[in-house]
Amino acid sequence: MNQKAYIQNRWLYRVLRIVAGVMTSLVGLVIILTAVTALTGDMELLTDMVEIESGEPKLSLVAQIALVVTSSLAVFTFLLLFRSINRFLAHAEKGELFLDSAANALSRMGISMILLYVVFISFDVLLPMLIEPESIIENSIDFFSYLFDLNALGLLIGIVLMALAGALREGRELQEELRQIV
Amino acid sequence: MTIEVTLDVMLAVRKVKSKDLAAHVGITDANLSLLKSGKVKGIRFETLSRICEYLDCSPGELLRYVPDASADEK
Repeated sequence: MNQKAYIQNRWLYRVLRIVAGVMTSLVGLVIILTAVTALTGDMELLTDMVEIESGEPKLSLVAQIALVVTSSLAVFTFLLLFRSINRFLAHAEKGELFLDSAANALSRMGISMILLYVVFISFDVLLPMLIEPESIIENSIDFFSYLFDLNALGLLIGIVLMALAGALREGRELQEELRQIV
Repeated sequence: MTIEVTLDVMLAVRKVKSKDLAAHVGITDANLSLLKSGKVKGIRFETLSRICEYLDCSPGELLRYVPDASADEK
C-alpha cells in the first residue's frame, strides 16, 4: 500500500468514527426521549417507534417496566456498538489488527449486533404485545415473521464477527510465535 | 524433550564474535543472544545454514538433544 492510499484510508476511518459517534448520540437521545415522554403520558414518539394500532395507548405497569428495560438495553447496545467500532477503526487506522484489543473490540461488536437483534425484536414484538395484548391473536403471524426479517441479518453478522474475533486472536498468537523463531 | 543450543561453545571454539556472526547471518544481536541462550521457539533453516556457513560446522554441532528426566524413567 502506498503512502497516499494509506492517508486516504486514515481519513476514511476518522470520518467513519465521527459519523458513528454522531449517529449513536442521536439514536441514544431519541430512544431516551421516547421512553421519557411515553412514561410521562405523551405517546406520540412511542407510537412512531413501536407499531401500535391505537393512537393513544395506555401503558400498564408491566409495559412501563418493559419499555424502561428495552430502552436501557437499546442505549447500552448502541453505546457498546459505538465503543467497539471506534476502537476497532482506531486500530485499523494504524494497521494494528493483530492485537488483543482489536480482537476484543470485534468480539464486542459481535455481541452488540446480537443484542441489537434482541432490542429490535423487543421494539417490534414484545412492546406491541404488552401495550396492546389484544393484538397478539390478530397479528400473531406478523409478529412471528419479525423473527426472520432483515434484523436476523444483524444476528448472523454478530455471530460472524465473533468468529472473526477468534480468528484474529489466533492470528495474534501465531504472530507472537513467529517472533520467537529466528 | 529438550533441544540445547551449543552455539556459544562453537563461537568460543572458532573464536568468532557474536556481533560478526549476527551481521553475517542478518539477524539482530538481541536475537542471536536469545538463540544462544535457547530462549527461542525455533530457528529457520536459512538462519541455521548461514550460521553453519560462517562457523564452518554442521547443525549437529550447534544443537544437542537432551532427553527429559521423565523419558529416562520410561
